[in-house]
Amino acid sequence: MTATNTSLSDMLSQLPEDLQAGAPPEVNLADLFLRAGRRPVPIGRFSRFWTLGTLQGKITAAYAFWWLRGMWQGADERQRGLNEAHLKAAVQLLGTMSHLRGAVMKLGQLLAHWPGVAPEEFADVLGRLHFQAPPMHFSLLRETVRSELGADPEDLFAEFDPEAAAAASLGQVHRARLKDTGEEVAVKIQYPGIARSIRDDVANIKTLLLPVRLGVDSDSIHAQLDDIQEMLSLEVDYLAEADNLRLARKTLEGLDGVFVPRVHERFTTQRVLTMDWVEGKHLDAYLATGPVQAERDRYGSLIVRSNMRLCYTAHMLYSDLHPGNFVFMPDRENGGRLGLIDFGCVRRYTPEEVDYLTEAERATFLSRDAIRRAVIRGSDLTAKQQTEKERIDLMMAWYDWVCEPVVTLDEFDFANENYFRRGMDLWKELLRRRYVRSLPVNTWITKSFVGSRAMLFRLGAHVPLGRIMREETSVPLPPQAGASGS
Amino acid sequence: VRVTAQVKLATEKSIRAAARRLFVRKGFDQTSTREIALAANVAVGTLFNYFPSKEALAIAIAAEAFDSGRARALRRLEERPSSLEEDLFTLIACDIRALQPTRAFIADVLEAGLSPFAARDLSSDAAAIRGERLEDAAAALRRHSLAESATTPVMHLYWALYLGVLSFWAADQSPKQEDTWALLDRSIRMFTGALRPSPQTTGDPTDRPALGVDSSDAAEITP
Repeated sequence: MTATNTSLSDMLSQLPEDLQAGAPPEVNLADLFLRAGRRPVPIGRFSRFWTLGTLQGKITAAYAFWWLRGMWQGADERQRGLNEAHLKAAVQLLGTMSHLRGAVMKLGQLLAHWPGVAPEEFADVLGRLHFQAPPMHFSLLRETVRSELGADPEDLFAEFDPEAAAAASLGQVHRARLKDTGEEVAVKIQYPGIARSIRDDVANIKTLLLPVRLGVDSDSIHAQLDDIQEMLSLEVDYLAEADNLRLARKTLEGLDGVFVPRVHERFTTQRVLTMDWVEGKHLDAYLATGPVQAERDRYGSLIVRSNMRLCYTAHMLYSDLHPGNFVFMPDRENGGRLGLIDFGCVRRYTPEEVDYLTEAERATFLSRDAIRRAVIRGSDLTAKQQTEKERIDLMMAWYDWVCEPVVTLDEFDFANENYFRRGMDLWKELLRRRYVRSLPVNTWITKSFVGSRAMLFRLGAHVPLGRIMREETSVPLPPQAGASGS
Repeated sequence: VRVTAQVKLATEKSIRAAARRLFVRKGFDQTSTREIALAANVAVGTLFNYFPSKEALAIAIAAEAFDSGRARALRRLEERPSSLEEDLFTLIACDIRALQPTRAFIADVLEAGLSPFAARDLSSDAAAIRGERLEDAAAALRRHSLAESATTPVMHLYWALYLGVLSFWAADQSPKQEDTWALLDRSIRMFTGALRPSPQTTGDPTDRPALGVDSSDAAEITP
């Protein structure tokens, strides 16, 4: 038996037994935690100590599992004691992740990326994780840097701050100064061994889900898990991220007000990534300074335009769109610049995917029929599913919601709570009705949409998204409003 | 024949050098004292005048590395105040780095001379290696106000942890032996977590950390 299988059986034993029976979920969870809290850490499998073979990992897996299943249960059944159970789980999960770092934390982040689904408390707790992981101490960092770059950080750099500047999901970021040029750099260092452990963990999750009947769309869900697995493997490779950074920098070179840091090759390997230091504030800290509307609008436009240019020109999908990846850089003369700092979760479109995107983009300007065709293609529906009116209508409503800012040339008010909630409700409804079947690429596009809309909502920005899109896309689009919403 | 101190030193040095080369190339088990003597250009009997056994010879070689690792660690501990976890990590990590050239045969050294099972008849080198490490760990506990924790069972546990990490490292197949660093980090957190009193709980049994959960981490999850 392999290590993976061994820890899987442990994992299964940790799951609530009556999960299948459909008892109220809060009872299962409370019981789960009670039992989990009393169980000793399984120190027998030392080498796999902090992968999913761990107690905390199992709790997370159990929670993720329960949560996934919950998506396919009736809403009434789930509603009882939901907040309490979720809050408990969120707290437990937070402890888990600050303790175990990377592997399980990544899973938690994955859950956090479906904000319309996870209850608010849960999303809130997870949302804070991006920058609040406990740091690796300097001795561990030093050994890691030494393994990767051949010398101690204090010898490689003129200065190296032993305190982490930020936690990254797989490691942490330190501020340093180059010896030759004196430039400030950010050194991102990955926790040793985390990459391999994540691969094991995702494999475990997949195995765990295999026998589970996730409704009629099982195949599609498994395909998406494959996709997520592929994405994670990209994200743990800092050389791939360095490639993305270089391409993004080149692509956004001519875009005023946007800054993408340079990669410093000499200090970059698969597990260490060194780039220009980007000085500024993240979203919350920026908003706390009380920026005027015009400035927020400008930043909103920069977020939209940089993402579109990456998408249309370089075929890059910046899908890990959360506030931690954006830096609001003070620059009085020019009204501030936007720094893009994390290119780990970037996906490159295949030619087929570009073709699909093009069709989907144009559809909104053509006809309801064109939208219907795009929705069907994007969702990879079976012949029978294509005849289900309710399903098609709901998907088209979601499509229309996404396109609302596209069809107008005017500024769109992303701060409009009604608009934002409407979208999240539609998204929840799609999931509740199991209409989750989609092309794998759509998982990431949707993630990106939800992420950017949430970001613009919080920023309270008015952005002429439709006009920017017409300027950025290579697809000829009519200048006036299209067929959507009619 | 009277042998001067200088000649003695040179002979011992050449025996050590020959043994190191052979241990790395052929492995500890596959190397005989006869071969070592031959390579060092001394009679087998002469070799035994310097080292009572092949094991003692290997331990003596490793002892040099242990010494330099320890010196480095103690320097680092003086440079910057750090947490107990980091202090213990530094102590063991510096040893591992210094032992890198002996990795091919360190497992045999550990087994022959340093393991808890070999403890009844430690060579003076082995006794020194063990004693210094336990003293350094106890000093770290004292620095962090845990002097009363340095009891015999705790120190025995630390020694088992120390040897466990080293033996894991000796056989670590992961790229750049990255798993060793993760294991060392985790093990030390577990060890120190067990020494410290549990953080305050809210009375809810689900908040109680399991044995070995780092209390500093656990404290962060208290809402």
